[in-house]
Amino acid sequence: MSGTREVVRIAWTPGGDRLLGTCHCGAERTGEDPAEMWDWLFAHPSGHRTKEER
Amino acid sequence: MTPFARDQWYVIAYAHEVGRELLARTVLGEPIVLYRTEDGRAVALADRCVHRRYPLSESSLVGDTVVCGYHGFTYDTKGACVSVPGQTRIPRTARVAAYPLVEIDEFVWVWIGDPALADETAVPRAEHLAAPGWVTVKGMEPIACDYGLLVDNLMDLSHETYLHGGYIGTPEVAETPITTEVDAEAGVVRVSRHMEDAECPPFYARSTGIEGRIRRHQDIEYFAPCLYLLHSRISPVGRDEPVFRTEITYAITPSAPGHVYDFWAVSRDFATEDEEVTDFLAKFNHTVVMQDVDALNLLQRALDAEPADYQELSINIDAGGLAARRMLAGLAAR
Repeated sequence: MSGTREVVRIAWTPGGDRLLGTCHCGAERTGEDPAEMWDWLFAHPSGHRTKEER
Repeated sequence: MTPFARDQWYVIAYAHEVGRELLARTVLGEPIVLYRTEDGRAVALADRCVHRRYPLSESSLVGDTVVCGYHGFTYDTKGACVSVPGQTRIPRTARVAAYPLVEIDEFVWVWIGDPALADETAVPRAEHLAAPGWVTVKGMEPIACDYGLLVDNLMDLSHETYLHGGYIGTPEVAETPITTEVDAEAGVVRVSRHMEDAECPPFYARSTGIEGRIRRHQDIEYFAPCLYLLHSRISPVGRDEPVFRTEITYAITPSAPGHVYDFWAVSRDFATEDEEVTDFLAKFNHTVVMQDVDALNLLQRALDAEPADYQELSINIDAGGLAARRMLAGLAAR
């Protein structure tokens, strides 16, 4: 959907109710509440660790 | 109430609405009068005479000046008073605000806020409204609701299945997962819903002639606070061609607390010579818009009867609406 800008994303995983949040820094999180997910995404960099850092 | 974001561009009218008759609109609670000069330039002035606050929209257009219908104070296109009755000295404070204005893509945009901050290049574009090869049907409906309710409505199209069933909604719209993106720097929220095998609703069956099931892609771009674009792509299931492109445009302009202007347009690049399709889309989409208008009028009345601290419930389908609310709150807090 997007180019190279600092974009945050919530993808609703097909086949279930799970949401996958992805920050522009590469950090990811799964959840089921879009409001909580935006809170986490817009809190960047607080609590954001990329796969490599985890 | 959804807060108003000042220092922003808002659609105040379609270009064809502004002419040699004075037109009154209210944006973010500010009454504004619109007209076109003799050489065709659109003008937006505060719609209250500086003298006794009489609406200039209920006055006369003489040449390129507005002559107040109460005592004759006369204003030029910059809002400066150039004549007062009975005396030669014009008070220095005799002027009304002139709003920065951009006319583009068949829309007239005004800047509400500090005129020094108005950047004409920041007006978001809806080029299909005026581009060759596209045909558009359009209208505007005032709604007695918080403008945030219209934003919510448009950001979550799952309501098509229920509110617009038999028109534009089919079961697949509500059933298909969405992806939502926020580009905070650009001020854009995007919501995508890609249905690969869906029932074809009458809106598309009758306009495209497709008889079977369809691939239906909905890609929303919301340029907060005012411009909403729904890029709709329809093709028969299992075929890459033809692709029927429809651009659905909304300008969401807060008029006053509890009131919004709903500018709507449907543009297509197929069957452009077919008057029957044009007439059908104009009537059918007006019906769909009025379903939303009725629902939002009703919803606002229901909300008005509730205590202020009512608790909403949000689920996955609300990701786009929640993102839009955050963006609007951020713009209003600037």
